[in-house]
Amino acid sequence: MAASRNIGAIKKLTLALVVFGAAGLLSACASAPAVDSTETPDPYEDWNRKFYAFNDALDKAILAPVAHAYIEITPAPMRTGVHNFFDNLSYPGVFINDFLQGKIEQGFEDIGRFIFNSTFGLGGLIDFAGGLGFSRNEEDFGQTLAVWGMESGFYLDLPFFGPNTARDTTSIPAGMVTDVLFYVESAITFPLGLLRIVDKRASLDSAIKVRDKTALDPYVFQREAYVQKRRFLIHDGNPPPDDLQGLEPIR
Amino acid sequence: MKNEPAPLRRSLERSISPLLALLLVTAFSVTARGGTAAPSETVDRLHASLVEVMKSADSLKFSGRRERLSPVITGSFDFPFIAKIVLGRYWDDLSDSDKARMIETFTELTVATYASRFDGYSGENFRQAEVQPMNRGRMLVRTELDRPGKEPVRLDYVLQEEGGKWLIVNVVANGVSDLSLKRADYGSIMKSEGFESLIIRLRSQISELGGG
Repeated sequence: MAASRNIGAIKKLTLALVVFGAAGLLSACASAPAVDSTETPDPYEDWNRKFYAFNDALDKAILAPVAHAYIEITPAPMRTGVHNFFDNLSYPGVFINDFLQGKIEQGFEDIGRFIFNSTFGLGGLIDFAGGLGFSRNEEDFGQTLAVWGMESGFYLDLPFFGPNTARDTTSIPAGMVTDVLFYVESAITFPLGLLRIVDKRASLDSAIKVRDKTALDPYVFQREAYVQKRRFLIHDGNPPPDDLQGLEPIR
Repeated sequence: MKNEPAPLRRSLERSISPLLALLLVTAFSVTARGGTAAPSETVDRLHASLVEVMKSADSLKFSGRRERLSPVITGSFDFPFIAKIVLGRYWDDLSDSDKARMIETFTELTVATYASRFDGYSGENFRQAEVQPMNRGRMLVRTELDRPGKEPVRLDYVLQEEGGKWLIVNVVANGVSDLSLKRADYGSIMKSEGFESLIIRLRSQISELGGG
């Protein structure tokens, strides 16, 4: 039993290496054309809009009601604990990408954060390290590829996964194999996975409400917001200020 | 004869000296501010009114908040410029009266949005981080909105000088530029439905904000 579990873990680690290797190769081969920073190429808009509609229908029918019930019945500190817990499980992805981006100091800080929160923070439920001044960082493989010089490529609104770009879709498999939950084989893995989806939807709730209240074309609104948010994250919260270049009318 | 001008001079001096003092003070403050009020003052004034409105949000209700915020917002943003940027390549094709309608509708929508969103106070505090120059003579005022128990929101304001005043032309919240969002969003409606439909949709948003 223990041996077969080990083999399972080894298989998964191998898969993780394959994912990162493939992504690295992909980025080495890819030479996407330079992209105007204010416009996102969206050659598959027709398909993207269909997937957007699908995701939106799924959200309205199932995810939103469940997330709203979750927000309603669980006290805020408990929701924070759940959110911290999942954040901590996926945190190896953050420090691995720190190192891949050459942020050595931040990488070690994030390892420290992961260890502190996993132990003193009771398995990640409490953001113990955050209280000590080690704030949470947001890194993923798509950002790493961007730091390595890869352009975002075209926009993709994927069924179930939502807004993405050609480059950022690599974060989906990379994020999966750098998540602790991926290596745990237990009866609770599946219910935990479901709870994670609910937590994710609940944390996006206010952003979705803003979108639904202010957007005239929610698809375009979400695409723009996503692209800008990614730019913000790639530059670690300090993107070169948008000086409205390219927005000014051409005279 | 010799002493006669003295009382006159004294009375003149008496009335001139406060005037002179006032002039001196004004001259001093004008040089200190470099001609016009600083860009950070525009942002500070907006934030101060927002906090004031948030603190008495319940008693003011939506209409009261809108009334309070309207003059401040109208005097802080460069709406003619914003409307032009937001409509992008469609702007030049509009008639002058349609341009004026767009500016007016957009101004109303902005006021209504602020009045609806800042509808309560739970210890929020605006902090100014830094002011830095940008291209084309614009200035960037970086601020943070602290919210107890929640992560702070980064709010960056882009301002330009217009008629001797520093006016806001863009607000960037956590990296998301309001101008770019609206430009993409409105552009999509202009392309598929046209200007009249855009105005109708914006009008209905304004009334929804008032109702909600």
